Amino acid sequence: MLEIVGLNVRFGGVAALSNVSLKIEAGQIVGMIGPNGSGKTTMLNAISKQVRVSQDSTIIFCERDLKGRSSSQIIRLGIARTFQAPEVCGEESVLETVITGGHHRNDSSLIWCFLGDFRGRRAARDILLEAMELVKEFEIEDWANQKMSQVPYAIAQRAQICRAVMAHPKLLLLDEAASGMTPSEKDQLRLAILRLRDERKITMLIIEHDVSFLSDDLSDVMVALDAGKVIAHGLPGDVLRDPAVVTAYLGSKAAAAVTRGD
Amino acid sequence: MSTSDRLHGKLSFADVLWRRKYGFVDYRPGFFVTLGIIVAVIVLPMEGQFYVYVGALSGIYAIASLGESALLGHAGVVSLGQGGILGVGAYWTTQLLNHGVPLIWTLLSAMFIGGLIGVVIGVPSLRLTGHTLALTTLFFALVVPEIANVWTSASGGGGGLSLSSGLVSADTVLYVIGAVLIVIMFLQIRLLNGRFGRALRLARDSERAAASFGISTKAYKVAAFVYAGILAGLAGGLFAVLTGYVSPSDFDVWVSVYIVFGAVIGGLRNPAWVILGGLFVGGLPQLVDQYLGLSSIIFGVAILLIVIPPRLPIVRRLNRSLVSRGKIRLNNSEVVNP
Repeated sequence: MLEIVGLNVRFGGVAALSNVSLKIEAGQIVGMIGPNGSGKTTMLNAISKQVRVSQDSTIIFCERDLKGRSSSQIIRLGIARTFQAPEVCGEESVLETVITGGHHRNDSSLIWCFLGDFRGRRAARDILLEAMELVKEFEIEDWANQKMSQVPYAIAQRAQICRAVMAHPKLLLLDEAASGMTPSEKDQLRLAILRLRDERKITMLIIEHDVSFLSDDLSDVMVALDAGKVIAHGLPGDVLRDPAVVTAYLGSKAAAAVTRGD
Repeated sequence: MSTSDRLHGKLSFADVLWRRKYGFVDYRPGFFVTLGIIVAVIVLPMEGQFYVYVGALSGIYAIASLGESALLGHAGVVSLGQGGILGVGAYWTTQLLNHGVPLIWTLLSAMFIGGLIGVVIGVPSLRLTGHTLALTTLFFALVVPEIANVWTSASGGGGGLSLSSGLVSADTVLYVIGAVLIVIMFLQIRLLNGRFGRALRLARDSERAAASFGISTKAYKVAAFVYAGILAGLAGGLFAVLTGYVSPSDFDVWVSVYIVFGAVIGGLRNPAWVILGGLFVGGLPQLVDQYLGLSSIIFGVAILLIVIPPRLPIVRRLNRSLVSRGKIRLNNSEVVNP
């Protein structure tokens, strides 16, 4: 479904991503791990075309080359994302935020919007109903009427996920989805993510710091980044035991301990 | 009725129409209050043409302030140039009416011209940040009366332009303005509370998120400029019809400033209250002038009295304690952290 070959992203003189290649098959949940600054978020930014990539990079999504596409075209291709810091409108309620995700699904043109938007009312009602369902599913319905600026971080993150799901994406990019959550909330989120894959057939690329969140039967494949390069790729168990990965997180002594089998 | 009950309930057409419940701001109370006030102003017997004139002029400011509130309160853009667009609309209307064009087409074309100017101002302003943007629009407001002074063939120069045909009585203008205000209020509530408003506010608060959901920040901000321009053009056209005479001094920079005042006093968010803000700003100076003089001072004091008290710490604490004790609700949403 998503194929990345030789992705290079530079910020000034710094290579945020160097020659990264990645392949995601439909229906997979891919976990992306790596220390701070390793380029995970830049990866998502590159896929969603919010950051400039080098000319020799190739990103192909569902057989379509993403080269030259603008960031606002990505959603229509079927890619939705969340952000590490909740990028929302603070004065809107949680429910309104979720509804915003359905924006591109309502095709009524701008002109009709000015005239009362009666043309788009059916789509608007469907989107509203679906938003209400999603909010229930992700257990944030008690917060549905609260303004985003007054809602806890974990709830805002779940609202972001709902918003992205509202867009009916084929590929969902989650940036630090589980941050700020208690262990039981993380379990709920894991179940919700699996439901997204099984019931809605959404493929996912999930960035997460909490490695245990990703590994317990959640991700099919894991990718580890460090300093802009892919250092490990494969089954979660293998990747987490990979010496390079352990070095990146914990230092070389810990890696040696792992290799010795401690 | 708990949130869960509301979420489980079925949606009626009224719910979707008014976007009430389910996490939206309920604009109905404001709508009906303002509707009542507009009807009262129109229906109340008024002795003397002066009151009819004041009522109509207030309505004209209300229309322009509505457009400004969409820009300021939802697009996050300061436009100090709406008065200039109003002026262009007024001159355009006067010329067309003098050439025999029927009123309805004149006003519609004035709205179109206003929208066009909105594009012309809006597109370049995308590259500008807040302060420069405000200054650029202010420049436009200053330039319009100057051009009117100089471009004598179109504007009659400093002496102004009289409406020689298509004259309408002030009473009729008042009724028209009242009807127009009610319709625009309803449409703007739906506009800002619906897909357009959400996209606009997200574009304002997070360009990245907006882009990732298919919302082009540029397109929506320009659309907001166009909307404000359309309303300012309409307001200008109605002004020309009301006064029957336009001159450069009618469209000085204060018109733009008062339009912004009207929007700000109205609270920027709810079109119903913005209308009241516009009515206040358009009407008070006239009434005070008539009875007291010193209208500028009194006007300034009145604005301070309206704008400052809600923001005082004492009042804010009082609000929060009332909300947390369930006595009142702010903006239809429950405050979590008092």
